[in-house]
Amino acid sequence: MSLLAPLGLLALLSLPVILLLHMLRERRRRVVVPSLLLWQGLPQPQEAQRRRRLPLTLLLLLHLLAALLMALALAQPHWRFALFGQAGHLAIVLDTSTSMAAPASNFGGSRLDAAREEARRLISSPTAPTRITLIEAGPQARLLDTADPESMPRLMMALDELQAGGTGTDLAGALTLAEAALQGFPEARVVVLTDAALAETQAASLADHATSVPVDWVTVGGPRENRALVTLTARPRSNNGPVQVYARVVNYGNEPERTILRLFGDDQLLDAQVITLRPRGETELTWTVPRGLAILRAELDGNDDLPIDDVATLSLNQTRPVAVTIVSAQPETLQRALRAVPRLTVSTVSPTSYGRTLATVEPDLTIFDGFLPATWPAGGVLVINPPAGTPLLEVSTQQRQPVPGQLALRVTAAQPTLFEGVSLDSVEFGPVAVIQPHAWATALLLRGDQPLMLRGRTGTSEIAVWAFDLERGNLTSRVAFPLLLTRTVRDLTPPALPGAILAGESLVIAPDPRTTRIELGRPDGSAEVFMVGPGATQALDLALPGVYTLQEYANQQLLYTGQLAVNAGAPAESDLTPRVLPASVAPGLDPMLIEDETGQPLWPWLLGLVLVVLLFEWIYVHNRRRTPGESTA
Amino acid sequence: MWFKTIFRRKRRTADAPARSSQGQGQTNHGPLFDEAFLRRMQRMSLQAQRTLRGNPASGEHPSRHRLPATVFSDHRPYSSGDDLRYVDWNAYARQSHVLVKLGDAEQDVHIHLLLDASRSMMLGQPSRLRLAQQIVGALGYLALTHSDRLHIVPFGPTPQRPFGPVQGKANMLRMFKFIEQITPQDETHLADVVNQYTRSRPFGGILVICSDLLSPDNLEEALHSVAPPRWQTVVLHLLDQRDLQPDLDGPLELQDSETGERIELTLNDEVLGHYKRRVAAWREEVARICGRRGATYAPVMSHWPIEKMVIPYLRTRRLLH
Repeated sequence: MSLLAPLGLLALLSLPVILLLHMLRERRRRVVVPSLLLWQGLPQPQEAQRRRRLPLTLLLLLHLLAALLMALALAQPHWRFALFGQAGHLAIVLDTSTSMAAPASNFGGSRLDAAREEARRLISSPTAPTRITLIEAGPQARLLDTADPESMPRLMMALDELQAGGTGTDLAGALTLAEAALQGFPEARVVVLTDAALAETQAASLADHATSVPVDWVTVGGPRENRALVTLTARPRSNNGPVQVYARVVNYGNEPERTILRLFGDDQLLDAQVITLRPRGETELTWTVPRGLAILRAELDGNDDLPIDDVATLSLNQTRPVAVTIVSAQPETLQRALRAVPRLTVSTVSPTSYGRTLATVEPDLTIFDGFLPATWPAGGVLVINPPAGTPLLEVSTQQRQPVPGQLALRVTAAQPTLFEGVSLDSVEFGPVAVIQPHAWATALLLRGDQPLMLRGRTGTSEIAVWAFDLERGNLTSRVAFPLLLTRTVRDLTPPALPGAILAGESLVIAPDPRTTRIELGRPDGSAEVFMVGPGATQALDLALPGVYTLQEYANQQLLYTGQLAVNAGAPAESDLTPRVLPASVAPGLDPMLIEDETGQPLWPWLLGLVLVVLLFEWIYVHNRRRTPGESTA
Repeated sequence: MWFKTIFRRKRRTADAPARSSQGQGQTNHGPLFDEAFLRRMQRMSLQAQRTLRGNPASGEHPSRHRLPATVFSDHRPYSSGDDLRYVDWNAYARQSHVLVKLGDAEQDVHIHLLLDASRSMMLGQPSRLRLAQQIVGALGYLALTHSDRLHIVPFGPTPQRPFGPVQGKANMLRMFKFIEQITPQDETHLADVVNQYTRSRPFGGILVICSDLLSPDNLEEALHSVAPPRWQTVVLHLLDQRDLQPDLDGPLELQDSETGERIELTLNDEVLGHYKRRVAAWREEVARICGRRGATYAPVMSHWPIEKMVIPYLRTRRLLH
């Protein structure tokens, strides 16, 4: 039962007032006698005159009952559950963030185990609604299952499969999902099981989150002390030089901590430091490690309430190796410009020999300068000064020689980042091939209506087209050329993986366009395979902290193997102090609307009872006045 | 019968207590008597004392005067003008004196029926007023039947419009209607009423006061003006059982039925004992005053049936014979 207007209970203050009035004015039974002549001056018992006690009369009880029922009616109580067999719907929101892996106070297991047990109790309760929805509130809210009485075992299985992991608790999204699931049910209720280890701002925003259904906030666990490695990052000091590593350790407890921090490089101990942490303080550390290490791992010594945030890993080989083949009669200019791009392997092929020799390794990027093959090669393709008469591009035999300064260059909105910080004012592009763009191509740079640069995707090929001849313009002698070329290469090749992300963060990777299959190896040894189409992106679920292995395959050919570090340490999860949650049962909508939607208001029944009590009181008083034995003597 | 119209509910006898649901403050609207009761009442008469002044032209009550009559009771010497039919010739033959036979003279008397119509008479079940109406009706019926001069005066603080003086059975119907239409008054001032009433009626008669005597006035002062021998006073003290044995207990607020005055009392056995002793003393005082003033005191309980208990009781009190 819930109260829509708890302030109505203030009317209970009328109870002591009624008692006081009855004590002050003891209601004597009035009796009409023929005359008072014989009654006057009779001696009165002294005890009766002195003692004024509470008269426990039926009238007093009726008055108290009427006032009590009226106060309850003013508070507008509602049944949350069905009174007459109506279908109820309960949504259980379960927090599965990393902090739920911490032990729960007064419970043998983790906070997630405690929440799971509470959810089981709700599901198996005899008064449980006939329909129950289970929602996981991890980094992203997720509706797990909705079960009827027949399918409750399935719900229990889904409950057992939940694991704590991921940074952040999307409680607002979970409540939105719950509201959507409960819509249309007269008896609806949401129970949120969480440890309330949230950011202060998130807890505050929950208080402002209006819901149309009653919400019960159940806090599991309690305040625990914890320390965490919340940051581990690195950057190379120079192109081929050593790497600088930075780490931050935070103590979220109220007691000082002294511990040892060890740094491993490819599982080899690099350094160990004793650090002292003040209560709710933090310490920053830096190292310089040699280049060539693939994985860095930092570990805090000793156990605390949440061990998984005492380890942080970092992948140092984020950049993908790219094999570039230049098909040009004069590749020197391009070779010189590409030399500055890290982890790039360049090979050259003359146009006449392209396709005649079988390449041992298929290049990730092919640059055609003044040449086009019969078909687009897979992977990235940069076409410079495309020749006329090829089936891949409709290029006119007439090249247009623009008058300098006559038409201004125009960057389209398709990919403006390509030209950020690049000045093209003094660039002379020379004669430009007149290209009729295909549907897959989008102009990036125009002079008048003449496209100078195009970008598009067809099949398994990511294609960029420069419609001018590098040898006949002055672009190669400008600073803009290596910038444009580097950015174009990065645009045509898959992006690098991040060195580390937080557990539960959403990661969408753009694999090599030739990729047909992705295999993701998890830290616990399990693997997951994703089949992808050409040019498609893939979202990865990385809730478990540790080092993941990512492999991209083009059919059976391995294209790329990379490593990705996922860390659990984050201020939002490592601080196990529970925040103040909103008060339970606080629907934010108009109470009248809720009355209609959630049903079963009790106040009309209570008012009816009040009327019955008042009617009975009236009859009682009336009869007492009319009863001869009471009214006359 | 000529008085049939007033007996609308023949099934109810005069002895049956009127069961009215109107409660206090309401008169009982049932018929006062039934026909058989009145027929039985015809055999009785009011017992008037000889000392009362009456009119010898009619009536059946004995007079203190003796007149020539055929029914012998005494002799006196003949005087001129005496009717020769009443000369006792046998006595003349024996004694040589002409004597006239004297007989007891009969007279009618004035019957004054004073009926307390205050609100206190309305209480009780049946109410005292109901019994007083029945008693006054019965006595009035006897008075009219025996050619007495009847006065019926309901009173409250002052005498109300009286019925009478009337004589003869022809007034019976009007009398019953008058009695039935008596309306309750606020309160009673018995002494003022009696003094005011008797001041204009110097010939005296039988005075029957039907009252609960719950009046702040002095009863002795009231009876002072109706002393014998001119007046033969009967005080019918109408009592209710609850006056003598009140079934009350605990904290109460008592309200005077006439004045509306209220007092708060907490009753227990001790207080009720005081009350009963006070009531007994009050009754003894009333009886003593009546005896001192030559009045007949007759306490009557309101629940007594009139034919079986009240009438025989009045006979023992020498009001009826």
